[in-house]
Amino acid sequence: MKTFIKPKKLIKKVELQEKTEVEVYEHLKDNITFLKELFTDCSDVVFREFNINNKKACLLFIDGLVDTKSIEFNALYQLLEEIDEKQLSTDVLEKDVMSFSQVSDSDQIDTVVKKVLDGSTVLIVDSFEKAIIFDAKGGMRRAVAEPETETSIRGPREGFIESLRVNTSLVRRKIRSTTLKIISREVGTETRTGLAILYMENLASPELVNEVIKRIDRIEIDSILESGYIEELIEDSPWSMFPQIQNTERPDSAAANLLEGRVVIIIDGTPFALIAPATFWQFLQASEDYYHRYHISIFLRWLRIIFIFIALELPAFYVAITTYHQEMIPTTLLYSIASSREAIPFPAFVEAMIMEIAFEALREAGIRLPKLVGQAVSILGALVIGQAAVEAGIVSAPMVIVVSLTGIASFTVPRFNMAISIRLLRFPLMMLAGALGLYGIVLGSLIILTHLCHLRSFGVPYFSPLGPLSFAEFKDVFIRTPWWSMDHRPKNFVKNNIRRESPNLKPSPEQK
Amino acid sequence: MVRKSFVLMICLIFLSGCWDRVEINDLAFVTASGVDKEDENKFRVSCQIPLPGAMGGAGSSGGGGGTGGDKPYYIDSAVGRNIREANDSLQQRMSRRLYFAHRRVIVIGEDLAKTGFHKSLDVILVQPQSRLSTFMLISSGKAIDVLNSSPHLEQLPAEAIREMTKNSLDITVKEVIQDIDRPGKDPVVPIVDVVKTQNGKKEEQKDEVELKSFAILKNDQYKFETNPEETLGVIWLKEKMAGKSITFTVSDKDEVNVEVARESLNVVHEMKNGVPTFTLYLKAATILNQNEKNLRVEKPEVYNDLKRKLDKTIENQVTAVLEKSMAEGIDLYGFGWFLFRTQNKLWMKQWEDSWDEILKDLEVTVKVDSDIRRMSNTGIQAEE
Repeated sequence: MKTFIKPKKLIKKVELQEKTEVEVYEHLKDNITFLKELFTDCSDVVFREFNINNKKACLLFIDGLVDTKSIEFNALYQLLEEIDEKQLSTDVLEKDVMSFSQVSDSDQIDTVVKKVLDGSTVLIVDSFEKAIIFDAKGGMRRAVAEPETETSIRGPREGFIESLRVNTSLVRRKIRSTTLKIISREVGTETRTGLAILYMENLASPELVNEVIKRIDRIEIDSILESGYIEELIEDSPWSMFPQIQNTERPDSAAANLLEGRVVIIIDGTPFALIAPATFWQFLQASEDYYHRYHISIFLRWLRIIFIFIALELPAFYVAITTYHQEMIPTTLLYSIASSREAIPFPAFVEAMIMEIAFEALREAGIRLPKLVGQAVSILGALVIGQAAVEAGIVSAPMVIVVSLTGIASFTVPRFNMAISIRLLRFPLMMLAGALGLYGIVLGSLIILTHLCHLRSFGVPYFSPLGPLSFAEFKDVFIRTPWWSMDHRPKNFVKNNIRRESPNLKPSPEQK
Repeated sequence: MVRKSFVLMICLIFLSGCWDRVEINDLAFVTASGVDKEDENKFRVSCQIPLPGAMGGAGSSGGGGGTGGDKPYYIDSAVGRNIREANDSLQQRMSRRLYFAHRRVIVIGEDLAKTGFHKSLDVILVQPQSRLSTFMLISSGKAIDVLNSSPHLEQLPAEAIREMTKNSLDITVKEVIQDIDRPGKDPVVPIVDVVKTQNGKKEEQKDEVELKSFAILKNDQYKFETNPEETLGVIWLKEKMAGKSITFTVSDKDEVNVEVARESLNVVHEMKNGVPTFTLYLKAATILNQNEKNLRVEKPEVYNDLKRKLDKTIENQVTAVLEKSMAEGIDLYGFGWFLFRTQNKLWMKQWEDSWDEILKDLEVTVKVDSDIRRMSNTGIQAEE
């Protein structure tokens, strides 16, 4: 894939985490001294010292990350009460005593520290020169709940949560196949955030998977707190306003994208998974499109396409027409616009800017404020902007309609990150309309369109299948054909195993 | 370098822009204009301009509108040697720029129409704002009086005239100009008149505009006004009869009213002794609306009788206007234009120069084939 961008060479490596190449000491005392030195002022780290048949031992874990009940019953109890005197070795402990599903050992202090920080529990016994690491992860986690940003009427009600393992399991529950591969990575020198790259081995092209891994391995940063960090670090055109990687909170959406040969990146600590590569049209599709009957899906898709134009161009169009092309307005409509604009002191462009910015401010205030206050603010704002401003003769009634329609229109875009680009791009378009009229709008739209056609997401043209044109892919862009007709996977992403269902699936009366 | 050229480009866009920006509040929308002849080479151009503040839109001070209070429009006129000059002097009394893109109708005064108005139409062709789809009418009397009348169903007289024109025969400026320019074809323009309403109370009579006849023109000169029969004849010839009704007598004091549902007109051209002759085949499908005599249309003999009477009525209407106009050398239907298109060489050689004379003796046969398709209701069928 020549089209991929080459990662720039990093000049300096980021090394913030202290690294120790020390092996586990023979004496427990030395180990504890060393580790306590490392964990100075870490009040959540617990050193539980005890004796196993007169041999000194110590359990090391971080409070809150482990399941203390499980440690008590499956480790401490057995070690203190039920162990025989005969042998005491790492092997015996690992195989006979500790009743945990994941048990390993290490002789590196560094590994021990990492594991402890990951939430594992470490047992160090005097004179073993090895530490036994076992998994008793626990602690509080949010339960799987309905995703808040992608609600649906029909479709699964579960959403990703902040735990990487739970999230991968949600996908695994959907795709119970050996071909679903999950590659793990750790990114962030301080946070060491777990990250899983999911792909279907038989569907996703190996170049794509390698490219994703390559771009993620390139990242050297102190922290990854949300998928947005990764998104901005691996996208193709970092300066572009348009999102080139889709994110989703829905496991079903992730699974569907996996089955179309895309790669899903799940990041620990956030319910948002990334989907790459993404095309422009993908952002106009909701997962529900595939669950409802196709008629309504087709209707909704066209509605979104029309409304994305409205969200982008309507205020600009209104400004251009009322200040430059009055001949284009139907005469009777012109009279009513003229009569409502009669007392307005501002030019249409200024009026539009005031209203649009006020609307954006209202929306922002509504999101940030506590829920109870937020509602009051939005009601007050709507009243002030919608009613009082018109009555006071500050803005005209048609402008209120235009602005509110634009606001509604930007909410019809199902993906929030695409809606943001559209919302922001209408300001430059309005300026162009105010300066050059319709010519300016055409100019601005052409620039946006050219940019969209120029973009690529992991080698896939962003505007495909419209640019480059591919009629075969149109089954799932402007329309959504019924499931019995969508027999091929999108060719942009899938090279092998293109067929997804057997032909002639259309239900019909039995043929004799 | 790239950055510099980018800044330059932004400057180009935003510094060169805005030069022709006009807010809606700075425009005076002319909805109708009238042209009257004052003196030799002096024209009075009147403009009807709505007052947005008085139109009762949301947020506008004032309110009110059509009924009661001030009119939502005003009329002003100025005199000049041509329309542009008159407009320019009108502009000197306006705080807003005159804007002609939304002109719905142009009314030509009777006096001007009789002397020819070709020059006045030129201004519409030349000025880019003006629309060729503006409807054109000729007023009986002064054009300014038509603009001054205050129709009651619409807020603006221009709007009322426009709607009425659409119902009668919508002749646009473009069609008039085309017909004037075409050899062997002459334009027809509706006549608009100001009449008093007949509401039974003399003191409350109001002005209202009326469209009831057509001006038959020779090129750009108004020749004669049609009577009611000829008016229908013109509409038949323009194939615009669909949706309109005609009433005809079937016996003493009994009339039948039919609504025309479809109309088609075909012309067939033949040469007889080196002279062109024409046959107009007119087909009309009608719906029986009123049947005073309670004729049983389902009986073949009654139907055929009714059809013959209808045919005759239509034929009379068409021939009336054709004969009258042809006698004056006016080619209303455009027989000459038909010859120009189909037999251009002969037209150029033989007929073009003497077409007005040929027209006076031109043999035109009108053959009507009407049909009563259905009736809206059988009516009262009193038993005898």
